[in-house]
Amino acid sequence: MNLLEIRGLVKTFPGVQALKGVKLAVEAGTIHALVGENGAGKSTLIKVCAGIERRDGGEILWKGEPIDVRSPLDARNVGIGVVHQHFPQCSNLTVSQNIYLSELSKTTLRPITWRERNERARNLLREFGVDRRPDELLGSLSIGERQVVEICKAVAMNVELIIMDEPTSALALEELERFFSMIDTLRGQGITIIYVSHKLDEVFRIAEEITILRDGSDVFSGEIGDVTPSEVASLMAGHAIAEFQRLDLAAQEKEAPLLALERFAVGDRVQDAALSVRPGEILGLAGLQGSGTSDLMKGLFGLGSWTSGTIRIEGDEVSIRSPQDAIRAGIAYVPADRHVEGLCLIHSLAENTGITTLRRLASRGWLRRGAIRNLGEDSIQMLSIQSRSPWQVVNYLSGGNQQKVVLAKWLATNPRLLLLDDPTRGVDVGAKAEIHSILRELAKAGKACVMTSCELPELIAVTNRIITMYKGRITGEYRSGSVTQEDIMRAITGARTEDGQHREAKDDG
Amino acid sequence: MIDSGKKMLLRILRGRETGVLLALIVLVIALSFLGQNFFTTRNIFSILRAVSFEGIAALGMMLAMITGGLDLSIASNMALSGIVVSLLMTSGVPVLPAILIAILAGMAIGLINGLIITRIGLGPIITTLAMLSVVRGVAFMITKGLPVVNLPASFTRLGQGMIGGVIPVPILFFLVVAVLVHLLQRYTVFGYHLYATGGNEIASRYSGVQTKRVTLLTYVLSGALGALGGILLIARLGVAQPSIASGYELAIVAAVVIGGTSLDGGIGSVLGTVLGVLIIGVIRNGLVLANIGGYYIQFANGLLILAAVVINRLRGIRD
Repeated sequence: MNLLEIRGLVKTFPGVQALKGVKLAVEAGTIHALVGENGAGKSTLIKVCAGIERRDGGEILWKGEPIDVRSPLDARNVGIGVVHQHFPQCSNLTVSQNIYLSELSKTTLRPITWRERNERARNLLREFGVDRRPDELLGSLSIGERQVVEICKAVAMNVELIIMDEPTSALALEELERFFSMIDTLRGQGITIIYVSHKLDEVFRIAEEITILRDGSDVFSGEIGDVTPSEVASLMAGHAIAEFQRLDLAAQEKEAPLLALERFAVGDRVQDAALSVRPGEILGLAGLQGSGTSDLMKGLFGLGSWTSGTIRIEGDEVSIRSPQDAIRAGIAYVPADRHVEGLCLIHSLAENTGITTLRRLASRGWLRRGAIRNLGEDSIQMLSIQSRSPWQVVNYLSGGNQQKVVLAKWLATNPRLLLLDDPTRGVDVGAKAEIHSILRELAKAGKACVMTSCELPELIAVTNRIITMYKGRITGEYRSGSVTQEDIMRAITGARTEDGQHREAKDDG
Repeated sequence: MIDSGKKMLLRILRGRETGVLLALIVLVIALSFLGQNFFTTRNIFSILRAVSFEGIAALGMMLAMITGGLDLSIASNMALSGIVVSLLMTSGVPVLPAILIAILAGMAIGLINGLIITRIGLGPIITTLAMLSVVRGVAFMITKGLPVVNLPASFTRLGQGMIGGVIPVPILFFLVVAVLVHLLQRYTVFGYHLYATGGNEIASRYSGVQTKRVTLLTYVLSGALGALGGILLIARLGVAQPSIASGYELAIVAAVVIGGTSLDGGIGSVLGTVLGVLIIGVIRNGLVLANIGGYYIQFANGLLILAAVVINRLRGIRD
């Protein structure tokens, strides 16, 4: 029987038809994947089911009965719980206060008893593999643990259907396994799950059914066994996707390093790091959250609290104390969170790309607006950014195009070395491939790139060489062409280091 | 050609300033029904002169707000600078040096604001709120609460004089300062850094913008503009009282926000701010002409701030 059935769902926003008559049938007790690129309508569909947005047309059936979900409270009363991608929580309250927050919203003047609720909360947490006291402040939990709390919240409300929006996007690699076992637990309890994601490996690992959205319509719906990952990717994008292409740049290995670090340390986050990158090379830094990969990049860009050791660029020792120093040394930095660290969202594409090279765009302190516009137009053309004009406000661009704007602003400085912290995070499949090919073009032009990625297969496919880090130290170095995901996983989870083995010699396989 | 003209028209219609301008026009038309006293050259120039002092300070406030901050000490700064210039002149310092020193005093106050905000990292609201009281306190302390009188005529002319017997001098100051601030904002690297810092402080810092220096300079500028507004106000009144300009900061914030400057920073224009200042001035003038009386002005200011913040909110939602 279908627990939830959606027929002909339509939702229009000013200027965009986000949903153009979508149908979705979710059988009770299954895990149903809902996939699509950014902008395909996944989020809108969830918001309609969760009572956050009102539908403009179509119907929603719950156990065969038409329902009208007008508010999140309605959704919950029906039996639908939603775990949002950026779940809002009260970090000033305790874990169990968060779990029972919605229940508390009903009691007004009645005194609240916590003992029994804390006990229930403890059991729930334990069931999902989190060993935390229910009276701890939520703020002291990791992102992964907070997500468990969010799921406990839904379970505590006895919902029958949980919709999870990109649930793994905020999770560190080591938290993934716990997450999947939690999914198993939920499945064991007979809870139906709509799993919204664009990470196909996860979808194929856990889902039984799949619905693919593209441009506000459902383009495929069926059992997961009926499709292959590459078919799904093509259906999502609407055209065939080229597989990752690996370039062998062995020739480059003879060149002198562009960047060389010795005994490089960043605060207490990175210790005793030694590495080098050659022109034309893409070096991957692999590590879990907190392993120091991001800190190493920040330190190199003059953003660390303090750094020590030597940095050589083309053989010359340089001192980098600020982003200004780094830019002068020919370094560019694409940060992990483009909304927070990368862009002025309320400003235009041209203004965002111009920010790094203003001195060049000005004569004697007076800006030339024309030069900024030209830079914007050049960027649009060079990186094929989908934008109406250089004065388009970047907030309205898709994630992939926003990331290209960040890249454009750094390419304007004509850097020798690019540091890219997870450059394809949250961008759709098509844009991902485009960013990969931009990186390859840069490498081909003799620039050196250092990148991280939260997806190991991507890191292996895009880079020439991978350096692994664990607890602030470099633990290994691998040729990307001859390394497996398991090798890297072992090195970054410390499995090998803690086995007592020493750093392996470079695998010349 | 027709196409680009149409685009231009669309851009003007969509601009933040257009709504403010329309509101001003509607207001002026409505007030002209109050009687024949409104639409006289004299009354128009008297409104313009009345808003010039706060208008100059409002441009400073706008700069601070574009960085995502606020300068609540600006009205106290107006008073202290007016006191400083008056005391200097009555103790024999010539007019021009006295004015320059008073502006430096205003800049010093801005520097203190800026240093506390950028080096210690306190929020702009609490920092400048404390400075509001500190600076006003200094004004009372150095005058012992007494007004400074007998200001030289060459000084009071700056506030009371007329060019060609028609245009009051302060309007000219307001106009020149507005043009200069506009040029600074739109056509210099500093102006660009100002918007970028307000748009996203972290992203700007990561792009090599020295955001702390930009913010610091902005508060210094805001201090200078507050001081200039205060000096001209004293020149207009002919007497420097330490209690002068009390509560102006709210009217100034209202004017800036009505003019389309975002409370979150990153957006704002001189044109909008000037229009916002004019709206405040016209409303105030209307209240007087309609014989509603001065007791209602504070009430009206408060309502205007609320209205402005709601408009700011609605703009945010639309964006």
